[in-house]
Amino acid sequence: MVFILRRLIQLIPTLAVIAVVAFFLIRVAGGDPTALLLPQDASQEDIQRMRRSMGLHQPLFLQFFYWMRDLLSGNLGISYYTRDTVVSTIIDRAYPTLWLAVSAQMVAIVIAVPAGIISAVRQNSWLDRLFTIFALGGVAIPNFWFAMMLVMVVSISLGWLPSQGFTDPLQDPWQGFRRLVLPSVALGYLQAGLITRMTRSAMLDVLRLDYVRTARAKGLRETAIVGRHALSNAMNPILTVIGISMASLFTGAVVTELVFNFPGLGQLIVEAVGRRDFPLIQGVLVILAVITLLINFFIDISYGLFDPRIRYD
Amino acid sequence: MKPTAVSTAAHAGGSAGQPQRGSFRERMRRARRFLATNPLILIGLIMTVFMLAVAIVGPEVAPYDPTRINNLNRLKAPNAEHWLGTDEFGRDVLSRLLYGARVSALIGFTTLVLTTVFGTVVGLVSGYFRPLDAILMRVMDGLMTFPSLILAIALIAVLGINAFNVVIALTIVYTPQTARVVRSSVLSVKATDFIEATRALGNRHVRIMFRHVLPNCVSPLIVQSTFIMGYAILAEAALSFIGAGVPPPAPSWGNMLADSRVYMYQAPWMTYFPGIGISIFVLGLILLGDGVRDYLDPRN
Repeated sequence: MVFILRRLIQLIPTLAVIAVVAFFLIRVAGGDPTALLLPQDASQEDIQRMRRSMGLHQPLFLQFFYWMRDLLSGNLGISYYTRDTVVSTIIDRAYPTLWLAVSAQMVAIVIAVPAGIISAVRQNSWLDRLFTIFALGGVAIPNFWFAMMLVMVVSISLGWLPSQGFTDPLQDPWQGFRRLVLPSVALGYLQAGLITRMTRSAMLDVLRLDYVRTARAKGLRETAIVGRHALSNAMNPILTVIGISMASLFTGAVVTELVFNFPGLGQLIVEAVGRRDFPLIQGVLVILAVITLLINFFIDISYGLFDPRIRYD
Repeated sequence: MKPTAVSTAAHAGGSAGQPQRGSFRERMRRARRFLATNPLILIGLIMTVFMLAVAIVGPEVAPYDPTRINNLNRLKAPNAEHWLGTDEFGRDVLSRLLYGARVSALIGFTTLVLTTVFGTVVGLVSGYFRPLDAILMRVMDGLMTFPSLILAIALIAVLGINAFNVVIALTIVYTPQTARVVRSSVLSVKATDFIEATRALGNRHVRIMFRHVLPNCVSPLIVQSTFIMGYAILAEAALSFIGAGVPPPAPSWGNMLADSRVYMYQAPWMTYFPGIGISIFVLGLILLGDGVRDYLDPRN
């Protein structure tokens, strides 16, 4: 409990940095938003009125203070373009991205963890080489290009699956599933590359240890050694990389969504950049950073589940 | 006599992750043996050198002007005149690919240099002066929490869309990673006796940092830089693909792929080649980085 509290307290400075970066990035470097909101021939009076209504006439530190106060109460401002609140705009578009992220991560874990384990157990075999090449491909091949290749082969040439759009799987499970397959595989492959590499090296580290040799000497079956003894000790680095890879999942989702015309957060941010909709960009940035931070926090406190040597108190 | 950083680190058992050093001939023999047992690093080296050569020489030997529009030649499949076909404006895909290689390599390399400079300074200062560590590393942690591409997109949205700003954005995004790597090396080097000795001799902090600590952090830095260049090339392609990178009509592999999206069915060659180029370049750099890391790993 004390550990969890201590970790929670440690989050505060990082959260503060996220807030400061997001604020100054947009407010200072982003220029005067009134220039974007008002027509070009707006009078000086209109500009001043708008500046006052947005609080821009106040000193910067006060603006930051008010912005922080709004942020803490869950108010991220109003989108310049949709005129709706940033939070509700993001929530609307987060739903498809959530489906994509979860299914891609599932594809990745289902492929990568066994591949990494087999690679380590059969080190230097042809299977190991095959999985190594597979993993390197996931890291080196641009995932949007891989996505385009999937569209060309699976959708255009073979006509097996649709390549555009999103259908809510809760409304229409079959269509929803069909539309999710290609984006999830495209994004999942990128993730699988990272996770396979990490799983392999974590397993290799553990398999070299004395206690594994002892287990083998006792005559335990290889599946028991790998599954029960080695894997539970290799689990922490694997979990860490799964957590860290959540950030690359969001990054990958932006371009993957574009290829598949997926109406999610990725497409929203691309649209926001096109319209210079700074509050929206700021909102997406803050929310994704906080989600990444929280995922890492939960992974940190879940370590004890897999490694009983870790005691938090 | 003042001990040199390298020889003393070797006496300290290579505590900074340095391999044991020997005579030049011995080191060459070790490197040759390593290459023979690890062919992947050789493949990585060949791929990287090949792509760098393409980036340097390519535009000089490109058969056509990469921006010359020829509407009579639209979407032509690969043929004797246009080896890799033409795009929707009749521009030669091979020429654009060769020029695009230079753009990618330049952006990747400049990002690498700037990231290395800033990451090294931040990592050195942070690892060396403990009071500054807490502040600097919290800032770096905060920056690392943002999904990299999305932070880069936000920065470019603010700075404006052009190649120079892509480099600035990627430098800001990747500097924390390099700083972390340098910092952890600095922390282990700082704990060695020879740093204590140089301090006792009355050397100034700046001199100790740059003359004695930094040379012992070079190996992990080289590995990190190789990866950073690979990531930067991928990120530039992704940024250009979504329209927040190198603006058209200048060719970049990312914006070539963006153009090809609409013509995937009619002109698949527009999609194949830029993707293959990026993959080879990045794969080469990753293999090289992996290989160098394994070579420098004291456990090997």
